[in-house]
Amino acid sequence: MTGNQPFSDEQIALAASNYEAQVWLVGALKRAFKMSGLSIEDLALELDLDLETATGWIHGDVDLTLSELRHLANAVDAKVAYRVEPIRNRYVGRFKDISERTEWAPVEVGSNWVAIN
Amino acid sequence: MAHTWLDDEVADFVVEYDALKSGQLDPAVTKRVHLDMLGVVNSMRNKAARGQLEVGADNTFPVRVMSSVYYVLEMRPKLAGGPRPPRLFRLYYAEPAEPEGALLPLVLSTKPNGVDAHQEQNASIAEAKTRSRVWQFTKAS
Repeated sequence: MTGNQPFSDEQIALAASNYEAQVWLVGALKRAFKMSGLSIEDLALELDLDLETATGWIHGDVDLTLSELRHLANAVDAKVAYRVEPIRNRYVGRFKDISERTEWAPVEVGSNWVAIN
Repeated sequence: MAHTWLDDEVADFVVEYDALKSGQLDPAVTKRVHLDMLGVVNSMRNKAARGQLEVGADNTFPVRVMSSVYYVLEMRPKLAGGPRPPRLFRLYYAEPAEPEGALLPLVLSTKPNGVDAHQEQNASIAEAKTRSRVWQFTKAS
């Protein structure tokens, strides 16, 4: 977004989707913790945290660093997999801008523009 | 039960939502945070429309019933801790009896994270109450 231009629907949908992914991750780790059979005291001991912090980690009240996330996943016996998909909102926006400003010459039969099957 | 947001019925809310979409609802908050919050608010609004958002009386719920105005609900977009954001976004809305299943957004605002020295939250709740009354009056006339 530049200047006072409003966020596009695609940008908002992407922000919502990334938030939902974070909510899902926190929920999944919480479920893994329950399935691990560990108590919060066990977890705090294993991660060298006080009880309040360990509880915060499990409830998603703390923004974990990527390393802390890895340590938590190891402790609750969970495998975390990341997947990044380029959505290309910005790219598409720029491309649309260019294509709208470009005047294309009509293609004549027999020109060098050949359809590739 | 599915619910429907009546997004265009409270003019001042429309102005505030447009300001959020333009990254200008609160000058003290960066545009990056505006976009992030827009994503969170939209996600929560969709959940509310699907009837999947828990409503309760205290801060542990994503939606809280206001004790001062019993029919005003406070949507509390929450992001995990990290560096404490200086301002928190809040959406105040109501569930009118008519039309059935409607959700009426009233106020979109921010409040300080921590001590609310200027009673901004109370002002937002009072504003939500006023707007709901105006909406009710307009509907009845």
